[in-house]
Amino acid sequence: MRKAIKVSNKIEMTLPADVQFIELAAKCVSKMARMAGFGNDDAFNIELAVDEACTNVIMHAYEKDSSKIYTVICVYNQNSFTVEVQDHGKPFHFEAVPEPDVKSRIEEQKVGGLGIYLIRQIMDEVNYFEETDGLKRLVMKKYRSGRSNDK
Amino acid sequence: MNLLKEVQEMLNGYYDSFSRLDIEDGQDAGKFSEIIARTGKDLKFREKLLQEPVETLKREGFRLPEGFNLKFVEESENTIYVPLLPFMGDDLQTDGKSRFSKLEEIVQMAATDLDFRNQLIRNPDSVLKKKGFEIVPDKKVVVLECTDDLFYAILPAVENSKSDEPKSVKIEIQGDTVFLSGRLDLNGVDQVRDIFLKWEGSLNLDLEKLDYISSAGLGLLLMTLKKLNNSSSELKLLNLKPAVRNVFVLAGFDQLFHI
Repeated sequence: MRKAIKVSNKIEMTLPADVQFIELAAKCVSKMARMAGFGNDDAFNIELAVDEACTNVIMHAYEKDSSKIYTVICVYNQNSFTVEVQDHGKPFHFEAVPEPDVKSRIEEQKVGGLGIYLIRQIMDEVNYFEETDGLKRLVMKKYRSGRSNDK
Repeated sequence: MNLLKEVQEMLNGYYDSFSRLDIEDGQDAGKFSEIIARTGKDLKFREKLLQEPVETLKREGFRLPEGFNLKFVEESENTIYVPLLPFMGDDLQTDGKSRFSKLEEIVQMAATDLDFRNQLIRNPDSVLKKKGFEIVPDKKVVVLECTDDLFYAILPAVENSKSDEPKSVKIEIQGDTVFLSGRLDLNGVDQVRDIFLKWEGSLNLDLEKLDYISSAGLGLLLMTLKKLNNSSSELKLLNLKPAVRNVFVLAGFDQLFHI
């Protein structure tokens, strides 16, 4: 028998694309991760991943236009914690972001892509979707038992 | 150079002397500046001025011609507004001396040289850069094009609007050591960027009280490292908390910095 879908462990925030609200969003999700039973280290890392995702939306998708808004949704169940960041800004070539070559950084001063790299390091599954109506969704999932090795 | 302040002063100067904004009784030349100053303290008045600029100015005694519009925009940390006077060609009389330096020069040029004006509208960043303005990467330049019927004015950010919330990063400098506390995130890097990029000689960065760092902070440290290495100086990071050290490791920055 199917269980009724519980909605009490889902939150949704709509935020202006303004850097001063990033911390608020990231802290809120981090607190939610603790409520979901994640430890301090994981919660800290999730805060960083959300910070980086919001930073990308503001700096790249919306190019610092603070009149725009974006949405952060977070939901958890017994197995995992999922954060989704949605925007209607410029698409982002998620797959094309290269793994940064740390050694070349110092020469070339390349820091682009570092945010996405951190998100991938922290979360177990990261996917980016472009919907037909222009909605972009970055979906980041973390499993309770850590990174699954069988994918 | 504080670009925003300069824009503001220049605009107020223009408006104070702009005939259409003359005050009814007397020639009180500083009236417009007074209005702007008032918006910093009287938030109700500020709101009114933003929502109903023309009506509010009229109530304050300004004589505005029918059909004339004036919009106020609010200063923000991430945006540099460049106001453009209406194009006047040779009609603009200048007295030759520049009260407000480079920016006024640009505004005057844009009011008299159509090519330059179009360039400035199309590509403000590169034009300002060419003129010697430093445009940091996360600031946005917005050109506000005034016409004969529509003028823009800039309201400075309200001083105490953020004072309840502590700054994200605190900086203390002792000799060649800089102590950072708080959060070195996108918000925080704005506060320390200038200090780091203008630093001469070797730098010890004590992070004992730094709770958080994001890619924005790492990026700034990398730029600083590169800059100091180029001048044969050193950047040393001291006393990282485990959480912050963990971010360095996640990003692979433990290979670039001795932590």
